[in-house]
Amino acid sequence: MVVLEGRDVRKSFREGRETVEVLRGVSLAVESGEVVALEGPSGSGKTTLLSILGCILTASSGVVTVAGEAVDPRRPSRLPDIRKRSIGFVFQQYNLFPALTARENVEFALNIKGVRGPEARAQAERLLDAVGLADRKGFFPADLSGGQKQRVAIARALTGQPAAILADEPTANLDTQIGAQILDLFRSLAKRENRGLLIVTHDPKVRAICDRVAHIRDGLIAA
Amino acid sequence: MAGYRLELIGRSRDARSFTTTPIAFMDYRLAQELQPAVLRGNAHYILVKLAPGADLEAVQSEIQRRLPYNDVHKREEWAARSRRYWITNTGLGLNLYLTVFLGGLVGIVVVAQTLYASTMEHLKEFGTVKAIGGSNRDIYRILLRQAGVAALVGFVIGAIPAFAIQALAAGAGLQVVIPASIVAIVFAGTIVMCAAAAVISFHKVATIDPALVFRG
Repeated sequence: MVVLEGRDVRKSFREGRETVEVLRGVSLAVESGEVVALEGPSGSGKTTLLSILGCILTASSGVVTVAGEAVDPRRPSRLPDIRKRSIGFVFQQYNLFPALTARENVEFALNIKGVRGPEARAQAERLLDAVGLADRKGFFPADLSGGQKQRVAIARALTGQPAAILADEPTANLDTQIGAQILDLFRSLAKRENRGLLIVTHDPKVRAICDRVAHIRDGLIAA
Repeated sequence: MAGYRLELIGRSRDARSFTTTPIAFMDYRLAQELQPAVLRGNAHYILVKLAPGADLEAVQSEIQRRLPYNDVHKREEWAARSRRYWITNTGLGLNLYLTVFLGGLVGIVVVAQTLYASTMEHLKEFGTVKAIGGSNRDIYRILLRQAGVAALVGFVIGAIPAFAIQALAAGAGLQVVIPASIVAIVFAGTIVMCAAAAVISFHKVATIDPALVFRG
C-alpha cells in the first residue's frame, strides 16, 4: 500500500523579479514498510520535496497523496491536520524541546495529537522503551548524547502511529558507529511497525539500509 | 496653648488625615476660645458620639431636622465624601490615575517585549510544534501560559513592596488600606495585561513557516 506519493510535483518560488523552479515534475512513492533514500546534491530540491510530501509546503502543481488522502493545495489550513494524523518527522538537528525531558518531549507530541494524561505518559514510555531509552526518560536533551537525542526524536516521530516518517539527514550530526545504530533502529522500526520511511541524505551508509534509492538532480528524479 | 493649659487625655486611632496632619478633638466651646478669630460663632465640624444602643439612623435624622442648613454624615458617608474630595477636588486623583495608567502601560510594554524576545529566541521550537502537527492555537496556549507565569511572578514582585510600604506607612501613622478586593482586581488586571502583551507574539508565531525546521 502506498502511504506517500507525489505525482508530477512542481514547485517554484519567487526570488525578487525572478521565478525559480525548484521541482520540475517529480514523481515518487513510498509504500508501507518500505525504506527509501532520497539523495542529491545541495540545491537539487530534496528538502523542498520532503517539505511538500510532509505537507509543510504545498506544491505549485501536481498531486500529493498521504495515507490515501489527496492533499488540496488550495486549502493550506488543512495541512497541520494531515501532518498530525499521518506524518512523523525526524530532523538533522533533532529539534527537541530543551526545557522538556525525553519523556515530556514525546508526551508533548502525543498531546498535540490529542492523547493526554496518563495514557500519553504510558505511550511515551513505551515508545522510549522501543528506541532503547528506557533508562533516559527523565533526562533533558542537554544531558543526552547525539545518538540518544536522535532516538528521542524517532520516538517522537512515531507518536500517533503515522503512516509515513520523513527524516532529514538523520545521521549528519552523528559519528559513524552511532549513525549506523540509528539507521538500524530506523529500518527495524519501519519494518516492524509497517511505516513508510523516506530519508533525505548525503550519507552513503544510508543507502545500505534502504530498499530503494531515489536520486534527485536539478529538480528532477534521475532515472 | 493660647494662654490655656491643656491636658492630653487620650490618643485616637484612624483619625489621621490623608496629609498625616494631626487632628485634635476637644470640647466645642474650648475650641472656639482657642481660635476665636476662626471659630467664634462658627462651627466647621462637630463630631457626635452616640451613647451605647442609640439608633444611628434616628439620631442622624433628628440632627438633620434641627440643623437643616448643615450636612449630617455617618462615618462611612464622611469617609467616602473625604475620598471624593481628595480625588476630584485636588490634583491628587489625576496624578494617581495617571501613575496607574503609566504603570499599566510600562508593564504591558515590558512584558510584551520580554515575551516577544522569548518567542524570537524559540522560533525554531515553535516551528517544530507546527511541523509535528501543532496548530496556531496550540502555540497560543503555550504563549498564554508564559504570559500567566510572567503575571504571577510580576504580581508577587509587586505585592511584596506594596505590603512592606503598608507596614512602614502604618509606623508613620498613615493607614494604607489594601482590601482583598483590590488585591484580586490587581491580580486579574495583571493577568489581562500580560495576556494583552502576548498578542504581538501571537502575530509572530502565526506567520512562522514550519519549513524553517529544515534549516540548519
